[in-house]
Amino acid sequence: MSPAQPKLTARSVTLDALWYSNPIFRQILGICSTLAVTNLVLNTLVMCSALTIVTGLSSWTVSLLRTIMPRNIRMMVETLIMAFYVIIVDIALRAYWPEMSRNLGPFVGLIITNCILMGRSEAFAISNPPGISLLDGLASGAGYSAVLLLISLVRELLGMGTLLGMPMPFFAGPHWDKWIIMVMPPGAFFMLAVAIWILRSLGTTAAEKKA
Amino acid sequence: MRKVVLATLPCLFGAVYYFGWRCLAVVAVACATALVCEYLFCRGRKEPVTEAVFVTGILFALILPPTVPWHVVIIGAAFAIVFSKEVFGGFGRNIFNPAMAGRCFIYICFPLALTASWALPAEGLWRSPSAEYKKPDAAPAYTAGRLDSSSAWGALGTWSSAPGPDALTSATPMGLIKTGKPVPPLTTLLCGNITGVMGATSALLILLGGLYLFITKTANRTIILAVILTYLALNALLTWLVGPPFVGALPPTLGAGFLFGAFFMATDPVSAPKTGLGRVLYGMLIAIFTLVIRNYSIFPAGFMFALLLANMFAPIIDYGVTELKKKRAPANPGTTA
Repeated sequence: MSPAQPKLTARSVTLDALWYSNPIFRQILGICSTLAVTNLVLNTLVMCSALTIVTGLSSWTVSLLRTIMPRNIRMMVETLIMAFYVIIVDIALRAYWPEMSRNLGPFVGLIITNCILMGRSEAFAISNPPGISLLDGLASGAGYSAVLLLISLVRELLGMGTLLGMPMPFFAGPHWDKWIIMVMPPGAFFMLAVAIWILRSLGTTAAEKKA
Repeated sequence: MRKVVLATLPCLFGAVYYFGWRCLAVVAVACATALVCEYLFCRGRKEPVTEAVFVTGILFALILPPTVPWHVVIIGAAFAIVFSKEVFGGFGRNIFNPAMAGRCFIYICFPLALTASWALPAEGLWRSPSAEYKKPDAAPAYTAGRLDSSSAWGALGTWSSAPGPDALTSATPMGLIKTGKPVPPLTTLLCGNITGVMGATSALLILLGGLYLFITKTANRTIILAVILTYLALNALLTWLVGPPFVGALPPTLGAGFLFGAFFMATDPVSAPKTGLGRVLYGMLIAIFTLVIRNYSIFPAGFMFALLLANMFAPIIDYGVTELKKKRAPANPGTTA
């Protein structure tokens, strides 16, 4: 990402994270979890909210500590901060929703490896004040969630004939031939590609917008 | 490309003869879907629609079961054109054979429609060998519920050779080999009086179209020979060394669409290697993958996966062969490269 822009308003930061530099279809970050958790809408919802919380809070913390953090060990400190929040989310999920924790398997813990976290910390939080960093982290998480929810909606509808576990009128019927590939990982590849294709042909990039 | 369409005509005739006119409708639907998809993309790029789209449509339809549902045909044909051809840049730029990629998608997406039930073929002219074969101890799948059309017209008077669920079976020659049951005799495999995908039941009809491609050099001869000879040799060798599940060289080569794949699919000039040595290696790879997948995996559709895997290796095979030539070139003073 480009260095801090001349004027950062809450509106421009949010718009950038949601659309012009959307982590999924512009930056192609955090694709691993896109492929792993989008077969059911409910799983995706939980995963997305976990990621949004972690990204927002770790961006905020990194921004708070940015002046006292030694430059040469900043990556390690950032990773530690993220790990702290990921572990809290993971433990909370395990304690209050063990079933969902089992469904998501190792992927909650793997939020730590999600490129969006390090990307936002390094590109934004390390050089901006805490308030707007928190907003940027949350908005990036929301941008990620929006695309993932879109993908999971299509996958669950075509593959299982349900939405949030509830049978849908047309798709759950006997005449609907379920698309088994949509439940399997290859279905995520195809849907992600289609989503990126459609969303990119809809809008302009941040660079094009400025030009 | 027109010659390939011409060469598929015997197989198309065989499909209608054994399984009824529905086959022709399936081919038409596949071609229409492919044409619409191709047109939408070609219009955007301002390129003309080529005949290749009909080749893809026909080949795709001929490797489907005769009872395939309509929505499966449409989704598969659309996938074949859009996702394995147009997204790579259109005609001449695809990595995978579009017809095979389309089949692979629906094979995984709708496994029941593609593998669970097969229509029994009409008996047609060649009754005597299969009557021998109808002894109760042979293969019960072939005796029950067969369409009563002992005339020489086969299924030419019917829409589909499978009017009801009792004319369906789960046994194809490859399935029989896999479960250790006796395979149909060679004459039956040659004439095509077997269950299977629409266009690939009769080895003789495939050979008729295939030899036309071979003689007119429309399809690359090296690839055809490499695929078939490697597969024959490996099967003969392994039957001699291992015994079951291998049943000799000829039955697996003549049955279940191997010949169709070798003549029509493996020779796709776009997705196959361009160098001579590369083509030999490519053909051998296809044969080896087919053998391994057919005999040691849960999938009977060995050739499909083998071809797609070999497609993936085609660019690196070409690269390796060209690099090898470059290394040898300086030693030879005669070359001007």
